[in-house]
Amino acid sequence: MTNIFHSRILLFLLFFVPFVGHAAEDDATKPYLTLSGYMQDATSGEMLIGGTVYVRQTQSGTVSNVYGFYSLRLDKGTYDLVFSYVGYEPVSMQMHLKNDSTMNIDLQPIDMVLKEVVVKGESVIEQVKRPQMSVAKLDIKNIRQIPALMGEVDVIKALQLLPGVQATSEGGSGFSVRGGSPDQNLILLDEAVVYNPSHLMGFFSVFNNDAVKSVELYKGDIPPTYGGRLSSVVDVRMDDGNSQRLTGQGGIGTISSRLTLEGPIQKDRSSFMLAARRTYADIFLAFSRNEQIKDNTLYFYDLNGKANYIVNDRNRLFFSAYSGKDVFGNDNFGLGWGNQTFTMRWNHLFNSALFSNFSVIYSRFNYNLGVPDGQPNAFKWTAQMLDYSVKSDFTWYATANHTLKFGLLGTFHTFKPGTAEGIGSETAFNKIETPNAYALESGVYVSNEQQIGSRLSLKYGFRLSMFNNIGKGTVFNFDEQFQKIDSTVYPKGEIFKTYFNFEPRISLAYNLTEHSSLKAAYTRNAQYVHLAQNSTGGTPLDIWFASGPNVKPQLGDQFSLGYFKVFPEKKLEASVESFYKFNHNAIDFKDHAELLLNEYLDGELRFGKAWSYGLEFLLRLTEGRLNGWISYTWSRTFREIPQINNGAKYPASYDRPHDVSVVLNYNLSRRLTFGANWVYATGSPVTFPTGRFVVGSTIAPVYSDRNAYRLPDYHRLDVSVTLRGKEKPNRKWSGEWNLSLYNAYARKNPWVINFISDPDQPNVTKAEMTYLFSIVPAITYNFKF
Amino acid sequence: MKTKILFPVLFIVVLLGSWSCTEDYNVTLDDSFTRLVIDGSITTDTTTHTIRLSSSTSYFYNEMPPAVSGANVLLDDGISQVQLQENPVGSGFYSTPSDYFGVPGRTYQLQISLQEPIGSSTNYNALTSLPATTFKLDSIQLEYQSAFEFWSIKLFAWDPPTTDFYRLDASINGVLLTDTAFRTAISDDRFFNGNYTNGLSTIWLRKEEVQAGDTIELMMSAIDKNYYDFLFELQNESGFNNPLFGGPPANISSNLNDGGLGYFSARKTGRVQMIVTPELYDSLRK
Repeated sequence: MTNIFHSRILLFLLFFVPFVGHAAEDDATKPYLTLSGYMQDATSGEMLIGGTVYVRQTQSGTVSNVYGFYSLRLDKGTYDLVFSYVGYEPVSMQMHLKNDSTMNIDLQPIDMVLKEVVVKGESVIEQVKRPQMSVAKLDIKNIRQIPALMGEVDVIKALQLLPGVQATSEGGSGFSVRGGSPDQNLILLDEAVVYNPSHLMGFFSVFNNDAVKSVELYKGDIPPTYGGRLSSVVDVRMDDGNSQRLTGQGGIGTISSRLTLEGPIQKDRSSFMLAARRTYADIFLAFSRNEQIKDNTLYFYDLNGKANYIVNDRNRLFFSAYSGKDVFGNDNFGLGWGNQTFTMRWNHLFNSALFSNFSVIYSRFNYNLGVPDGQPNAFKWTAQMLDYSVKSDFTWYATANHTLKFGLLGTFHTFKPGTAEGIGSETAFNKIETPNAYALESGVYVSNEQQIGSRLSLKYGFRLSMFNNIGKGTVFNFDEQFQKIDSTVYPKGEIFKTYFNFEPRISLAYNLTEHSSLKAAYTRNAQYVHLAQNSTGGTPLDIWFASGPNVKPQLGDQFSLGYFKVFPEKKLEASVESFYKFNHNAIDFKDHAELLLNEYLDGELRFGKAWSYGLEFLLRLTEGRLNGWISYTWSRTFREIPQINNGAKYPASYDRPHDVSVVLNYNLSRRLTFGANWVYATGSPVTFPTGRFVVGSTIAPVYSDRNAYRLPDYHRLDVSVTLRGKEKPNRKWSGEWNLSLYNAYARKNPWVINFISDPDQPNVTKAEMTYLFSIVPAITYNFKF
Repeated sequence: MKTKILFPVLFIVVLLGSWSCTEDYNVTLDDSFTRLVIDGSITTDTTTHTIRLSSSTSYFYNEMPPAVSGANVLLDDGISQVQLQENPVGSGFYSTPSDYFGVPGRTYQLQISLQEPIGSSTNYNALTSLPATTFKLDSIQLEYQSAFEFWSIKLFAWDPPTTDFYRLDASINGVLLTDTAFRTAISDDRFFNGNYTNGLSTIWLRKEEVQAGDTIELMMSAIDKNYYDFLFELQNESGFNNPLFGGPPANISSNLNDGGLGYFSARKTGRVQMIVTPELYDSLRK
């Protein structure tokens, strides 16, 4: 214990060290004045993430951070400023800057239908100029307009419609970014890692859209602030809660109902948000004619809570919590899984140019399944992944042309890959326990965003990451044939393996004109925790395992190059991005791998390389009556692992060369909105039999090379219509009906193709296709008060 | 205990079944080259033991597999050798004399020389060991699972403290029910090593398969790890797949050398019977 304890102390020391280094900054002689403040929604007090501040005179600007804070360094003088945010009325003002100034900006949401307005599109122009590429920000308002499966509006499903992002299975919430595996996506909810973002076998994600403020996806050019995954970062931020008045919203849907309450605790000082969602699929099961289905429990719920407190001008506190669970069972067995996260954050302004945030984070994913006591073969099986993290992030708006970011993160991981034991007094079962593992993952980063002249801006920095395997731990040693030789047991607290990685992250933007730019980026990422999962669907039986003596960290190098253009008058954004990505020490699993309850899991792993490349085109209409996007991606992704497919390269399961998404919303009137999306993707690569043989009376297949065939192409149209109630001046309650059709033209997209023996003719084998969803209609009533 | 993990899996498949639809699918498949296939086992029973030689075919061949006939098949247990006779001639079935029995602890090698090469070889061999596991069968009981409308055969047996692997087969009134890989039960002893199995559910029978008055026999065979792996892979690859569970399709291992397919196994067997009297049948169905 002592050594773990020491490493925790060390972590806390690291956490506070920056205080010492920067206390002196206040007194430095400053050649510039600072204009800073917060940008917020005028009606709810909700902080606006990624709002832009544009200075006409310098033709430059900045973007508010995830807490709504912005800071600009300017010379003494008079400036025309424009504060803007998509979907809000921009605020223009002239300002005589004589001293350091603080200015909090309230922006009014605009009515997209009535105001076919004057928005000059500064917000889009700023995005073109920033040295940040391969990023997409989705506002929850836009996500809500996208037609959804069973009417359940879903953040992850919306992300799957972006270029370079693909769903890994029909209706599932697993996704692959630029050919990477689903476990290479870092999914954060208010900074806490969500290890399994899926409900109900993956058909729904854990994010209740009423509790979510915004979602940002980094699919390349991952900023040094983030680390630990190769492919992407999904940064989901919860609503802070209305600081002006008590409001609520909710919905009654086909499979679930939601209710959210938010309001001030002390007006303008503190607020809270509480959200709950529960499905009631089990109510419908009772009507099933199938006796096997009838007597089952089947539901999931999500609870989100957040509170924030503005201590004073310089200090703000945030508390957020999430708990979700799936419950699944009957008299004969039960299965349950869920995530819990808790984040405590403290924003501190050392001065108007040095912003900091300190976080303490808890994250847990667990599952249990079993046959209850009293049933034959009664047993209980549990597994869990548990993280404690501390984190500090600093942004120093150093000069007009330099913005520095630096910080630290330390996470203590506990892996409990699984324990199974018989229950009841008469059990014949022994206890099977796969050994727990402990590890410390830490990182320190520095990056600088620099403007050189009026055309070129750069962002360069690095992340230094470290991973320590800490005892108590049992490591099995394997020979070259992956057979277990013996094991080594490390005592409590001993650090028995350490990895370091230097991860440079560089990007640049060169403005060709005021409205177009070229961007390029190179990033390296290291990943130390991996998911033992060889199916593509979202099963909850996830086992995360750590890098260690047998498993090297995965490393990813990515190069991206892109051209970006905006047409401000048409509120249109266009971009083309190309990427090449190489994954060192890629992990795959041997044929017929046993991943569950296997203490020799390391022996089931095979290592090699993976690479992908592609081109992504995006055309996005940001505001107005008609909004949405059209995207086309061409990409390939391959793997080469010596012991798989006889060492020959094979297309990864996520290799789907052509991918099209069309997402459109049209506001016909204030009361009526139509939404539609259409997706098309080349069929997934699959392995089919090319021969057969007979054992007893069983016909067995002889397979082709891995992934040598393809499923038929996938395509689907979803449509929705939203009808809002009439607005009346003195009525707070407003409601809307949403009708949607998933898979509107009933395309039979194969979920799986099985090769089976014909039950009626013993010598005949045939191929059989299973598809999941035909037309799925849904109706939802949403309300606000 | 793999069968246990399958249990929730089956349930989820049933559940998804309420959302999913299945239909026949037309696909053109390439043909892989023809290989020799072996199927058969040596047991500790004193009887005629039969080995079948056939060849692999294209996937939609849709006929009995072509017999590999006229081969010279020699069985060697390390001490003595016995020549297997093709019977009937032309069938591809090769048999030992009727007084032959396997001896626990011995290693068996089958040497095959073909009249005409399959693949690039005319000579093949397969090696297997007959476990000396000292399991002790006590009895079986029957239980009716009304929720799933299935019977389960509950096993009462002693497992020795060694690492063991088992195959379980059931027959009713002398007719083998576990005639396909998917219905045969296999188990390692991780969950009950060294214990009395105390009513472990093993084989599942459909409601209508058991009638009052039936005699149910359970055959328990100790097998070696490689054969267990083969059966596990065979079950995985010849049943239904779904993307939620199980990894990508992969070829089934074999102990026939030179790219051969199938398995030549050796089993130490034990048997136990029960009679489903009308009184017992009625009380179980309650």
